[in-house]
Amino acid sequence: MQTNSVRSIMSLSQVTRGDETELFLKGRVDGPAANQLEVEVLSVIKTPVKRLYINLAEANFLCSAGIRVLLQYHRQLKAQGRQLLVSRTSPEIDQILELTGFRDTLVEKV
Amino acid sequence: MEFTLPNNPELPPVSAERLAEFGKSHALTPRVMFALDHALNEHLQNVVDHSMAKKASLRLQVVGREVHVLIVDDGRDFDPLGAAEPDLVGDPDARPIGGLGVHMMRKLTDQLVYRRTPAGNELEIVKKLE
Repeated sequence: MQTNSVRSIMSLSQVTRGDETELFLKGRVDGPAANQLEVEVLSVIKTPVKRLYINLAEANFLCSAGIRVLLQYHRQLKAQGRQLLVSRTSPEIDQILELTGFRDTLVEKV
Repeated sequence: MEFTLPNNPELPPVSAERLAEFGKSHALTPRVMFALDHALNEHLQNVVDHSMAKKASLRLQVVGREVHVLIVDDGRDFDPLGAAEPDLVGDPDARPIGGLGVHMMRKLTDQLVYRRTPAGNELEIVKKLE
């Protein structure tokens, strides 16, 4: 469990395959990073993508604002017959999603 | 460790840096640091977003087998612990999203104490050492 890189701004990359896009988040998903994530999600969902995956395997911090972004667009896309799911989690992120009760909703069931 | 910072968007990340220094100097475990880091961030983001405070003062101490983090802001009355508990059992696609931050703080720490004092809002976060 790593917590030392507190000032590490979240880094974000994106891979699109057909009608699926995966956003890879690394580092600290704090308040400003949650805003950055929302901008990215809004940009992706303007395209005809059917499934948007958020990969949190290399994230080590997730604030409640980040969870709200995930939930808000999970619900919005579901209502449109599309999907936003968390594709992978680090142990830290898994713990945070579990204690907020939204892990089963947000994390893709493999 | 004690420090005072202006209330602006840098308050949470700069405080997190100081917390990391404190954790290192006291050899706090990653699990304790993970909990304190999230709890402090949630509270300070609330201060930034809602308190209208000019500044916030923080005191970090190891007291016996506990870490105590005291945050004092000079903003308007704001008791974060007065917020309703979030609904964690209803339909996950429909239940309200609010209250997650304070819920995370409660689950990750051992005690949260709020006081309104002449200095402003005081929140004390207590986390037991392992």
